[in-house]
Amino acid sequence: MTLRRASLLTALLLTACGETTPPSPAGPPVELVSVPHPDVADFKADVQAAIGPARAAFEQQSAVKDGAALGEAFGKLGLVYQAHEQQEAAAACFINAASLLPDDHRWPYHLAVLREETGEFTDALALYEATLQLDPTYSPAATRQGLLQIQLGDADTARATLQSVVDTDRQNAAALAGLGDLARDRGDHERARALYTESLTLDPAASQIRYRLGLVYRALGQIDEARAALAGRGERIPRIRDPLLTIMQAHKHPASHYIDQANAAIGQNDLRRSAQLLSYALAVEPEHEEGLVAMGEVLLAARQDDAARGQFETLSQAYPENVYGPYYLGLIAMRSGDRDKAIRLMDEALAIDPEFDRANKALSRLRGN
Amino acid sequence: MNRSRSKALTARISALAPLAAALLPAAAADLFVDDAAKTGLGFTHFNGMSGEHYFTEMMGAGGAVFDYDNDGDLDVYLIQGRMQGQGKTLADALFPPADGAVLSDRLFRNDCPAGERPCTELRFTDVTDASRIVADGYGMGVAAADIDNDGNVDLYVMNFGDNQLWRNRGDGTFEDITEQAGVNDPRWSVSASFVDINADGLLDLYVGNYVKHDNAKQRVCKLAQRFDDYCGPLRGAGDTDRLFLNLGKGQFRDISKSSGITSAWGGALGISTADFDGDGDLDIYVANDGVANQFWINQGDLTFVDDALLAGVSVNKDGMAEASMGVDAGDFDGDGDIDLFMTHLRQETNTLYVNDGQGWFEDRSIAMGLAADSYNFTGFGTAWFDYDNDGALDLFSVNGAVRKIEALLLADDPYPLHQTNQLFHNLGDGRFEEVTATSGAVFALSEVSRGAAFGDLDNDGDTDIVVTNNNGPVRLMRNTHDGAAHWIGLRILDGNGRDALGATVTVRVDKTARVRTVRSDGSYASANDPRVLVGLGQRDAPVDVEVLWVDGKRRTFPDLTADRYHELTP
Repeated sequence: MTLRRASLLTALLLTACGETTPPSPAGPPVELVSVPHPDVADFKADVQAAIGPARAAFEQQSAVKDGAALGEAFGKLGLVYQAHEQQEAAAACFINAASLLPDDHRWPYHLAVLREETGEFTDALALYEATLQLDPTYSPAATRQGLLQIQLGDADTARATLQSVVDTDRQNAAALAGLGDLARDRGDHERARALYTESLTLDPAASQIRYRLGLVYRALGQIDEARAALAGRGERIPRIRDPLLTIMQAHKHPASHYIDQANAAIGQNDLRRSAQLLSYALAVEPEHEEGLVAMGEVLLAARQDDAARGQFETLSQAYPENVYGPYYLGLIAMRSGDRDKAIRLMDEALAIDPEFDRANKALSRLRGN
Repeated sequence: MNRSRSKALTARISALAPLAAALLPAAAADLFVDDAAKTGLGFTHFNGMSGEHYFTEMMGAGGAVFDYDNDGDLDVYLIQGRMQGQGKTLADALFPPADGAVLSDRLFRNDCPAGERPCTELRFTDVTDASRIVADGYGMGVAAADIDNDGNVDLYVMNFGDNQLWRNRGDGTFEDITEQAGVNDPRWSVSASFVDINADGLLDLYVGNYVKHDNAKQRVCKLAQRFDDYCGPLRGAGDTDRLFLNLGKGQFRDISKSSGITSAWGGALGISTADFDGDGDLDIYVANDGVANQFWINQGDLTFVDDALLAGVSVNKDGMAEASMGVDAGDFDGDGDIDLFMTHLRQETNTLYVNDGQGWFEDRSIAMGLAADSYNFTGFGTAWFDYDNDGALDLFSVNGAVRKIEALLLADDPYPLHQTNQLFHNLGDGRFEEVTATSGAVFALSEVSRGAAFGDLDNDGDTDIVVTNNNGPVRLMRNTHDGAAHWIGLRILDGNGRDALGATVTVRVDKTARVRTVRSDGSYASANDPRVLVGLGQRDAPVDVEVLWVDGKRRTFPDLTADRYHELTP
């Protein structure tokens, strides 16, 4: 981490928090803020089911982990809190995660989103900037930063920020709409019309843009077009594809919730939906045994063997006694024509479970019996 | 909760206010001071909360400043609540009213000696009983105007339940003529406006209805998924408004349907009327909670068409419907047309719609500096007014949350909805700057403010504000501006001798024109001083004034002296 990054983050985090405690035995001492954990008993059963285990896991991990591992534990708990609207607790967790993992862009980003929600705009802007210094490619941070700059009346900076986003990602409907807003504000209605239209083409469901487009048509004197656009007005804002917030949102439910839904989707042969649901489950619990197997199977069914291999390798590492790991890895090797590797993996599977019929049959085929 | 503990909580709340005020750094000179207690304006609103989180109790009520006894000074009418919930009694109240408090609306007479201007010692006397006003419904709002052209200002009182029209008999007493006038509405009315929609010299009545609601089917929502909290209105619960045509002699006809205004429903909380499109008749703007606002354009034939969407005042600049509580219309940028400002919920921003002169608007909240500073506040009553008489219209908004504020709740605050109010100074180029922090200790008061009625209560040539607080004491924010700036006060009357609501006043100061509308509506659930007060800055020379009445009559009044009130007739 550069000195600049470190000083920026430290300044932000110290401003944002308060008292500190230093538990890190390895490396230079890191100051942590106390987390105002909510009383789990206050929540409804479904929320308790999500927060309770997350909190218990954190307590267990925080007792034995330090450094980066402790940072991950704080971040993980922060995601659960953020997903359940516990803003103060989530913010404290993210501050600690950022302190322990100063090169990780995720935590200043989540903190920025929280600060923006609570109206602490100056902090939010600085935290988006910190995020982008750590990962200049994370375009949702630049997009949100640019949109916030518009809200704060800093049009020139916003234009530069959003233009840099669309220069690298012309598919970013939200950034295009933001540039449209800036064009409209300075009276360049033709450009605003073009940008809004482009944004709507990319995200046709973003019905809010139809209102803005309608007023631009009005300004251009095209009243029929204005009325038509206004009639299609809705409340859906242009979507920002934001993997980090998607992962955070997934923490609203335990992994088992998504796996149940994914199994139902598999039953309906909806592989795309099941893959999405399983990705949520694994975001919440990356080493969920059933989730890893199911995701691997879905990917195999979709002929995405390389991705499937990754799932089963993770499964085999985390659960060496799970027969599906070597079995499916063997199957993937078979598909790729690597007979020797396939035989070895099927042998491994049968070593775990000699009665595993599918492995026996696969091995027979491989040996030409 | 037992009564003694309730009293302790009440005492604690009361104790918070002066403490907060004391913590404010001393301003160079307080622009406003709270003189309610000092002047005898002793009133504490009671919302009847018992911990059940009834939707009604969170909304709060307004008040009116109007001259009921025609003695030339503004009197004050304040709306009261009562216990909420079937079978609930005062013993169930979380914050019971003081012993002996009467739970009905109150009328306070301004006892300034007749003709004394400015009033040297402002005093109010509760004359409710003598006035014979008995308004003990669950009160929400009030509109004030002379409905029968007898020279006396009448009152329309809105409730969660039946409304009341109180006719001013001119002898200090009022009579309830709701039934014979035909203007009742038993729904949940909050704001209303008296507006002469057909320029016939009789004030018609537009009544804004909020939502369909039944406390017996009460919902309780959760804050941060764990604390009981108030719910907002259900989607689709918004009600339709009502329009009554004044037939004269105290009679009205309900023309809601034929006029077209029931073709859209909303959730009305604020109403402003003016000739927004400059075509010579009065239009009606309705601020709706959480859904699209309405902009009823007068077609000139007793019908209206909602053109809010194309006019650009339906939703904010992004296309999002906002909470829209308080609203006011005024020419803030001095270009001669009427602009709109309205207050919204926390995590929205207040909205400024700038008129292009033809009734088409642009949301310029960000560019004019009114967006970011309002993000953390839930605004209610508001108005354009020139607090420093520099000639440019400033803004005041009263605030108070409708959902609990987590930080207050976690700090064990017994009434965690309170916020501070805000004052915005017009910089003269159309942009605004928040000056709350430097405007006096009264701005450190953190309360659950709802209504705001604006008027010159002490007739000293600047605008004072009566702020009503939900479940709290009324505040009389007396403008203590030092008088360095000059002004002119205008009472515009029509041929019948009543305040000419809707008339347009143009005050020519050097080469500029300051355009104002004679109005008592706007804000939230409140009625304002209909007199027009125009700041002249450093200029003390006589000014020319032009008045355009609603019926099209126009007259110029040359060389009117500054620093005094004038009464102008057609």
